[in-house]
Parts: sequence; structure tokens; C-alpha cells
Amino acid sequence: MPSAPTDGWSSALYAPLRRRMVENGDWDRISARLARELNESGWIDRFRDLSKEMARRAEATGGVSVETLMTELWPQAEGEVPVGIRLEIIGVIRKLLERQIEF
Amino acid sequence: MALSRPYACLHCPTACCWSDGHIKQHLQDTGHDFCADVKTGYVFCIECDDFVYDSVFHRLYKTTMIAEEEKATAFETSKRLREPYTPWEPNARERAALEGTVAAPCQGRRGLLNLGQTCFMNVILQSFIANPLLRNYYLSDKHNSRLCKLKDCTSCEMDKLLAEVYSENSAPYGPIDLLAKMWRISSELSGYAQQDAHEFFITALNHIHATSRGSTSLQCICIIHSTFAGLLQSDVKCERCGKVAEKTDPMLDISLELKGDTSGEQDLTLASCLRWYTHPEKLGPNEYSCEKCGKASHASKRLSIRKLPPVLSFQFKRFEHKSVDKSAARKIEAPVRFPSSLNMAPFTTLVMHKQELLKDNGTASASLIPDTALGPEALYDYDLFAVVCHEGQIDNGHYTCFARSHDEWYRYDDDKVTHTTLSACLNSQAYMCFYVKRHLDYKPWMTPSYMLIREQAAAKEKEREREKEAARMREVEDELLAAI
Repeated sequence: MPSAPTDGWSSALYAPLRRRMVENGDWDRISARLARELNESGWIDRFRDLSKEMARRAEATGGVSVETLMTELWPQAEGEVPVGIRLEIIGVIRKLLERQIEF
Repeated sequence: MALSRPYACLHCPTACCWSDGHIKQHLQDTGHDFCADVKTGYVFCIECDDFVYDSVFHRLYKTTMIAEEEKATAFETSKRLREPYTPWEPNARERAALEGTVAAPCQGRRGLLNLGQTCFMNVILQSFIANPLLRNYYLSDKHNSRLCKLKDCTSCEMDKLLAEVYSENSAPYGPIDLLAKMWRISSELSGYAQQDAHEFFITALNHIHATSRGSTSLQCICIIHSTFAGLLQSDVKCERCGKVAEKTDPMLDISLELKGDTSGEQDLTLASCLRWYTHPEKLGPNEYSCEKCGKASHASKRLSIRKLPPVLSFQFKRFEHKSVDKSAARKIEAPVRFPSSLNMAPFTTLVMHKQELLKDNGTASASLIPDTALGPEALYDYDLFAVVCHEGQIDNGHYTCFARSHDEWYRYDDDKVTHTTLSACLNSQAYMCFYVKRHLDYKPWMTPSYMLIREQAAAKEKEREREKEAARMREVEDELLAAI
């Protein structure tokens, strides 16, 4: 899972910026928009099905934990986010940050 | 501390993120066993090192969420809050009644025999069987076919069908009586030619409505209308003076033209079709004359859903009839992508009006969350439960369907029922899709109309008895007087 940057000037800004986004609701708004777009593109259903069928197949051999499923599917999930959606959300975040930071 | 996705320890007031193992570290450090993902309610056990399911937790989470949502929603006109949901607990009399009963299976799946090109009927019947509201109505004896005295009652056939499906018998079933009744009532359906499943769907709904309790021609509350009826609103806006004329029409389903957001075929989705359905359509200069400014003017018309039904049925208009002659039609094969969960908020009158207002005020097109006047998002969520597919040409094709039973998907090909996956269902070429609302809404603090009608009927019966008795008494008195 992507973690906060640990070096450079961005790491000093990351935590307070993130906190502000969560506190004033921007985080939830952007998150909801991303979820809506991913649902319409079929991404959510694809990974709902992949993870469920993977868990079903693993039942014969004792089952698989949620964390294992996440680790196995994460790279594919990240890779399959449609380019258009990725760029759009990055754009939204960028616009939001530009209003708040002096670059 | 502001967490975007908190995991709450179930033993102490700590909350941490999942990432970088923060919450797991807390559990290990303190010896606490469980934490829960606040967003989903899923519980994690440090001993099992995995998320675990327990029906008690699941139930507790659901009832807590509903209780909070209820507090956050007020009705527009009465300003009253929603009636708090209380789960049913049997009282002493009900518990006694349940004592001697035999449990019925909670799952029922049976194939339907093809009685001669009747796959169009079978797929619609399977969608009815998989429909939770219809299923519950008939399984709870709300229309008892053994007591009904109506002639050619289609509602009785539904009762018999559901009883057969939920019986111990899992062999394919032939809905012969139902077919015969449909032929008798709607002659255009008779004969062994292939029919359109959507036409059968609408015809069947009208038949069942006509033979069900509570059936009226206006504001009907029969099981069909209670399940499928919504309200469509059309707003016609005069471009000259800005006056908007609103008109509402009842609807049982939504027929969508296949339209993507751009000209490419790749982006045909249910949402893009709904956006086309609700987009402002320019009317020609002579098509509309405004009431307010009195002139024939340019106007735009926009459709929106004013009232969402508990079950939303979509039909994709795949069959284009070039003329009255059905054989001169063509089928549009383009696949449409549809989701297993759908949020209808952007297509409702309430939300669309709010968005127009925000646009007019120049507010950035922000998302409307949270807006308490619009209610919690959850009230607009729907889940897919059946899909009708058509393969082949217009008059030489075959209907199959997918239907969900709890969380598992099954494919129905007349008498053949096979366990399948969500993916297989979503990758099929859909002709019709059926969605059911995740949270039903109720008018608060009201006695259900069927109970009121029962009370009224009982009161009337008592009155009639009393009059009969009074009349008899008078006869006796008259005879006595005559004898004197």
C-alpha cells in the first residue's frame, strides 16, 4: 500500500495537508468520486469477482486470508485502474493543492 | 487525529490505520483481540490473523448504521424523522404458532421447461422468482391460490409458481397453467412463435396487478405497483422566460436507448444510457408554447426520476423497428456495461434540481455529499439481482437469464440451471437488468393499508350482522303483533 513520502519537503507537508483534506471533507468527496468512476468502469466488480473466486478456489486447501488476497491482487488492481480515471483524479487533487500551497 | 479509513479497537478507544500495520501493532502491544473497519463493519481477529464473520457483529453493525441514518434524515414536508427500525421479535402468541411449524428452505431454484419457444416467458418468470418483494409476498401467503375465487387469476399462478420453486422438488417445472392463462387473456401472446420478453414482462405485470388485492386504477397499492411503480418527472423549461412546467407520470420500468458518452462504442454503460435519458433535450421552436410568456418559444425538456421504485427494471432498446412490420427490424448487438451495485442519486429529480441550483449559483460542481436534505447516499443504492440476455436474431433467437440467490449467481437456460460467477453475468450481453433497493423506505407512523382495509371489512361485516339481527327481530315482532 502506498505510504507517506519520507523524504524531501513534500513529507513535511504531507501529514498536515492530508489531515486538512480529511477534516474539511475533501478526502471523502474525492474518494466518493473515485469510487463512482471505478464502479462505472467495471473495476470494482472485476476485483470483487476476482477476490471472491480466488478465495473460493483456496477453500479446498484451507482458505486464504484477506491480507493475502490483498497482497496478491494489489499490483494487478493498481495496474488496471483506467488511465483516464487516474489522470482525472490526480487533476482534481492537484487543483485542490494549488489553491492551498504556494509553489 | 484525522484518519481517512479508521480501524477501531473493540476493547479501548483507540483507532488506527490499517496501512503500515498500525492497528495490528496496537492489538499486539495491548493484547486486545479485535478491531473493526469503521467503513464496512468488518471485524479483524489478531489470533486468527484474518477478518472474521459473525452474524451478531454483522447485525449489530447494520442496525447501528440504520439508526444513525434515520437520525440524519427528515422528511421534506412533514419535517418528521424516519420511524426507527425495530427488528421483529415474535410475541408469545406468534412464538406458540411457530412451535409446530416445519422450516421451509430459504433457497429455491428450479429450471423451467420450454413449452415450445417459451424461453421469453421463462426468463421473466425467473426474474420474478428472484425478486425479493414478489417472492416474500407470495411465500407469506398474501395471495392464497387455494382460497382465491377470481377467474383466470394470474396472481394465483404466481403463488403456485413460488410454492413449486420453494418445495422440496428441484426437478425442472413446466408452468403450463400460467402459459394457458396468459394465452387466454392476451391473445397476441398465444401461439408458438417467439415473443419479446419485455412485452411479456409488461403484460404479465398488468395481469397480476388486475388480479391482486389493492388493485386500483389510480395510485394503486397492489403488490406489482408497490414493487415496480415509480414516478417519472418531465420538466419543460421555456428558454425565453425561464418558466418550468413540471409533469409527472407513473412508470413500471425504464426503457433506455443505447448511448455512450462519446461516439465510441467502448463506453456504453448503464450510467451513460441513464445520462442520455435524463439529458436536456431541445424542443423545436413550434413544439412548445409557454404558459407564462404565452409565445411559441424554444424550450428544453428534461426527464428525471421523481420517485424511485423498490425494484428498478431497465430494458435496453436493442430491437429497432423500422416500420410496423416486425420483420423489418434490426437488433443492436453492442454490449452495455452494467454494475452489480448502482447509485441512482444523480438521476433523481431532487438531486438534479439541486445540481442545477448549484450550477446557476456558480458554485464549483462539487459533490453533494454530505447534504442532509437529500438523505443519506444509502437510500439511493440498488443491487443487481437478475439479468435477461438474448442471443441470435430478432425472431430466431434464444433467451437466457442470470439470477442472484443471496450472494451466488446462477445461469438459467430454460430447464438447465448452472452455478456461475458475477463476472460471467456482467460480461453477458444484457437485454434487461433488474435492481432492488438496498434500503426500503416507508411512510412513518402509519398502519399498513391492508390492515386498515381488514379492520374496515370486519367492521362492515359486524354492522351487516347487526342489521340482519335487527331485521329478524322486527319480523318476529310483526308476527307476534299479527297474532294478537
